[in-house]
Amino acid sequence: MNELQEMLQLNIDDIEPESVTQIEKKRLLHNILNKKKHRFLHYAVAVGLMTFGIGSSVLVLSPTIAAQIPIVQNIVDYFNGDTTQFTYFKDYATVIGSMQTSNGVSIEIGDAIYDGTTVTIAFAIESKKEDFGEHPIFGSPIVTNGNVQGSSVTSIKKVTDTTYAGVITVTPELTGGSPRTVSLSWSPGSVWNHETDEIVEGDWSFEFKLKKINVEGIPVNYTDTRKDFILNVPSVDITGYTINVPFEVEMPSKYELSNLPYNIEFEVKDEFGNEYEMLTNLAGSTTKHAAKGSYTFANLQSGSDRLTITPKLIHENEEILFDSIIINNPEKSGK
Amino acid sequence: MTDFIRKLQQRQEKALAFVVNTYMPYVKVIAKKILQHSCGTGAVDECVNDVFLAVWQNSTKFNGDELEFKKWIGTITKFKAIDMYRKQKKNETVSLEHTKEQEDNKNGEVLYLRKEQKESILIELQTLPDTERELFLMKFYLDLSNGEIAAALGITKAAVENRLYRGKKKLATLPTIKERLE
Repeated sequence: MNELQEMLQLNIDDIEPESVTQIEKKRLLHNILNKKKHRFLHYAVAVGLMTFGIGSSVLVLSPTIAAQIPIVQNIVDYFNGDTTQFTYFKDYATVIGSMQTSNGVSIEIGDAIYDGTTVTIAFAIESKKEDFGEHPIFGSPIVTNGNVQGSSVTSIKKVTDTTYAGVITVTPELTGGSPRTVSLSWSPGSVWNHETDEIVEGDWSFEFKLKKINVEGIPVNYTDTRKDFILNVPSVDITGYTINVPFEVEMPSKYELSNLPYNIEFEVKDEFGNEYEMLTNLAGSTTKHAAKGSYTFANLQSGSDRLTITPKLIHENEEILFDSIIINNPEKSGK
Repeated sequence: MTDFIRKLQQRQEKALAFVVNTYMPYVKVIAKKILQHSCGTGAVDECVNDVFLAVWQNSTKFNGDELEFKKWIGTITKFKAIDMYRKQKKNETVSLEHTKEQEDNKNGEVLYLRKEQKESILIELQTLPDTERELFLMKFYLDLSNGEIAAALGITKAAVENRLYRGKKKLATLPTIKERLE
């Protein structure tokens, strides 16, 4: 019997499960939830207003080490070439410069941006001895205005054996639209090397506020219907760093967000043929058959006079195109 | 957790955590038996990840009780793992596969399936009764020849052809497969 036949004859009813560590299970869950959220939006949202942490208008920084030397200089430069996300990041970012050390591991928050929809935080890690592998994983996510709901993408680059540069891009669920400032808090709790299952716990804790950078909200009042899906885009919000496309969708009664076979996507192009890179997206149900959310793209600032935004419904080989949204003179916006 | 299947279908993340907690040991051992030796630990992890992602994204297509759920997740694992194994072998023996592809072309088989389409086939075929499921997964998901299927099931090639022929009516009710039969 050859190898393939043996595999085909494997009787799965008669097989002894083997033990799996809690860490492996946590990692798997984390991977699935992140992948799911990053693709598109198959989850319903628990909406609830959390009130703690809001109220002060003063920028509050966590206790920091005085006159510290940054772990990694120019964190986002490590990602140039992989993404267009950081082309204009430094022009708009606020320097946070907060570092904390616990259990031999230092975590530094370098700089950050809040563009009214999405928060981007550049950070670095340095360990006295541990090598955290290619992609260390934090125990707990960033909390925005007291809320952990949202979608988040973490990119990490190993700089030396014991230092890392990283960026977390979060689209949080912001109750009440797009507040002028957001309060961020982050207590990572642990850093984990999933390649070796080694985990270092620590009590790093960061708290800071970010003011919204200048956003030019261009009203588009767009509505289009395809296959009984009604798509609304009230505005396109342009900053020098990003382009945000908020949307609402009403679905035919047989669909709701949880069983929607389609991905709702947006394509952003300029007249030179540049396609703008999607950074994050988020959506949640508003009623049984309706949802709202947003897509965030990197602003290329290509000198374009005309941006074309095309919404799409995609399911396997099927692609349903909606009418495009045209934005004239986008470069005058968001500067 | 009671009623975890319904909760999973409602996209409750706690239900997913329960499914991972309960079934990961089972899924992992199947993936390991098929892939560990031939493709290594990285492939095992990738397979386990793919299985739970597929389960999470397709939970509404599952219809049955807890016992059937275990069978469902186990079959998805087995066939995803074998598919990964075959892809790996294909990379190792390009020239042989090339000949096989030319043969398949003559038969009018659709050779290249997008990953999503393959996944749909894997999920759709789960709705078939036990006795037919594996045969059709071998044919339409793994693209095995009738001879290979006959050897694996311990039946004659003629019997495979016969069962495939009889099953075509049922398959025509499954959208992605129907596309392939046309």
